[in-house]
Amino acid sequence: MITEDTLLLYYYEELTPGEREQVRLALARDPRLAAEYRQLCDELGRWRDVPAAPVADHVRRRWQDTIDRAARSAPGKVVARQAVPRFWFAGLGVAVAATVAIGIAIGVRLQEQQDSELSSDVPLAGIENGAVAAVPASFTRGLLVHLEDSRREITGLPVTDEAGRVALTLQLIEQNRLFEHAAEQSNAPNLARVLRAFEPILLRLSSEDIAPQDAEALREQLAFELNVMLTKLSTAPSELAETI
Amino acid sequence: MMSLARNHGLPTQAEFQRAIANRGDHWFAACLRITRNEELAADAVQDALLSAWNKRHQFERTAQLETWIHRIAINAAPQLLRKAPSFSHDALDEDLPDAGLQPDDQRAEQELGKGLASALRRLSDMERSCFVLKHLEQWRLNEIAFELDISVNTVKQALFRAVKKLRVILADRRSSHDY
Repeated sequence: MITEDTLLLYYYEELTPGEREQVRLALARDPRLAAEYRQLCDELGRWRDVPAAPVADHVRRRWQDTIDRAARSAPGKVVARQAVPRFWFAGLGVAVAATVAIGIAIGVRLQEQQDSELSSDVPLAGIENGAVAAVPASFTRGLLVHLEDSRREITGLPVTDEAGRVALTLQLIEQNRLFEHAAEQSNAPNLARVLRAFEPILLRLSSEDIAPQDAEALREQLAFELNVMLTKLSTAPSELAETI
Repeated sequence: MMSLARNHGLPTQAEFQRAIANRGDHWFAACLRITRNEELAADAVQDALLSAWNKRHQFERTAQLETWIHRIAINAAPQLLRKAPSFSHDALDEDLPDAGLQPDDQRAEQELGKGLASALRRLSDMERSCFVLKHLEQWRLNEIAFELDISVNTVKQALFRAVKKLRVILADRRSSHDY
């Protein structure tokens, strides 16, 4: 007796050679069974062709950052990118920008650092509790990856290198805008607004006349905010996402 | 412009980036078919990329890097799904209600075509995983069993039930559209 299940395993070539031969002979001598098998093949065949839809840009960018970070951090790394001349930490800017922008935004949102130098510059008065509750968990999880890798790197930031600082800040602005866009796409307009408000600070930091001690103070503040954000995300990422 | 230079035969950072650009959509779609959840699918691809990078010394140049990463991503997707609160190994007999389209479901419908995607929503996580891995990804039964940490017989039963349900559901849909 050849069952439907056996026909399915025959279709998928999951039978032993002996079992396959049995089914082959049965199909040859039983028109009804052969018709049943043809129908099965026809239906299963229609379920094969599945078009792929494009993945969201911010997700693809997250994947790209993952590889860039792994390449930077891996011992004996194989880095073959031949880009235009960049500062050694240009790639770092990608991570730091996302980390810092969101970290400060959320840190400020949690109102745990209301007297900090950075948060005092960001006009957050209009942000209401629960107003950005729709932020997807994937958005937050992506940030966690950035945070964990960036915490170590940010401590070595060469703030006394003016050219480097300017280049990094431009990277930060670029990434801030990227996450601002991602926040908008994630139905988090208030978070996007916070990120937008952060840009003037970055622009000030990119100016050439900022004193090294001021730049250092800012870097320390960023590192602090980063730690706060990491702690929050590590303990309750989903809850945090809902309380941004 | 990325270099395609290679170092000791290892796939390079540039090659990984090119693979993401060329095949990221397909990896994501494949994972989405299993997870039915965009976040889990994106995480699966990210985990796969990191794993592939860390294990790139195991990559054989006779294979395609894109295919290798695809396979790793497909491995990662059921693992993430199993960790998800809704996943149940005991859900083989459970006919899930059609609870209406959620945003992730809508994306899945785009990926799979309306009929099949809608039908897949009626399967349990186990049935859907086994069907997708077998039918769309063309894994062997023993590979699925290993990856899902269940017996081959359990995979078979899940697959049988998945195909039966899909045939019934899709036949009903065709019938209703005929009228």
